[in-house]
Amino acid sequence: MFRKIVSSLPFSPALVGQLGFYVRELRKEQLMRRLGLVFIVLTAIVQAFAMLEPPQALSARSVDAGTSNASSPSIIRAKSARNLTQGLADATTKPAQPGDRIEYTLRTTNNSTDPIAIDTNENLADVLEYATLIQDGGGTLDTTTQTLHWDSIVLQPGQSYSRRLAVQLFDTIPGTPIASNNPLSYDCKLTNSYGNAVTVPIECPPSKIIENTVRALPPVNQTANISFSTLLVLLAFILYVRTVQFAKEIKLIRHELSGGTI
Amino acid sequence: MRQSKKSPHVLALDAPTIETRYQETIASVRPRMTKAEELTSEVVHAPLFERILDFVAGTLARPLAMLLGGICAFAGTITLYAYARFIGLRLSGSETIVFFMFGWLVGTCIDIIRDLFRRKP
Repeated sequence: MFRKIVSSLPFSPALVGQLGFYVRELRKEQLMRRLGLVFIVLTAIVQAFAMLEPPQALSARSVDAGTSNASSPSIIRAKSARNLTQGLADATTKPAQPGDRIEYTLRTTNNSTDPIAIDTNENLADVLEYATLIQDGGGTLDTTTQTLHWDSIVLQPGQSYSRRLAVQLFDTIPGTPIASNNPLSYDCKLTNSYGNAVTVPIECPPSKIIENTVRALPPVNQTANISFSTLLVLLAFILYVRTVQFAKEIKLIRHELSGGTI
Repeated sequence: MRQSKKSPHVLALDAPTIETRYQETIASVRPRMTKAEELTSEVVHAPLFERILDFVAGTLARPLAMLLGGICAFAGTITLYAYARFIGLRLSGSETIVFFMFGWLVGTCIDIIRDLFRRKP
């Protein structure tokens, strides 16, 4: 536009009228470019700060969701979960809501031909991130390891026994992000194993949407980030200086025109 | 200058003449500039640089697109960074670029729609 008007002016002085219109456009552009430059520089500062002091991800207390309770040929372990509040026989089929009560049944069978003494341990570290234990089924909870322990019993060949425990989900589900050292921690699922793994999905709080969106973004390293910011600041600065220069030149050209020099 | 083929009484201007007069016009106002402005003018009007900047300023870096891109990038990055520090969330690094691209896209769309309905002077 600048080139078009300025190059036509010597041949068509009637274009002076267009100059006024162009000056107004140029003023608007100058204001937008100045503001754009300010915000881009501020962004670069925030970004630099985020690189120097990056937010640290939390670490989970336990990385074990009960994987040690695997079945063997002689001992068969099985687990199921019921949602007592929603009346679901299988709690894994529908997301649990805040305040729901979940009952776990742990079944152990001696599949061998000899009597076996069996220790029952239930790791609740993952479950207790979103719930509290309301029924321990006669077990003892070790608050350090978040493990529910029952005393050893002897099972005769072919004999089975069951243990029941119940948890209640918090009234407000925490929006804590997934821990850096355990992808199962705070993943909006209650996961633990006793022979088989049982995963009860829970209704995620809205704040988890931000976390999931951030996790879905492609990772970009610092070099690419710095290059992008530098390029952007440089481009915004050059274009701002160019607009300021155009405004100055147009002002002088108008002055020359009115003086009859051009 | 040469005679126009369509109307013989009108003198058609060829590109070199227009270019020469353009450079002359710019050169005629330079003595009234400060040294810094004069230098900036020479850089900004260097033929190749000027053409590249004209293209970039009218396409990729339109004023509204850059402004909205900057606002979105700043507001988004500072909000997300504060939130991430508060709850302990590790960022992927591409958030600023994504926020900028979003604002830039919105600005470009507004510009295009505005240009479609704007009366040409």
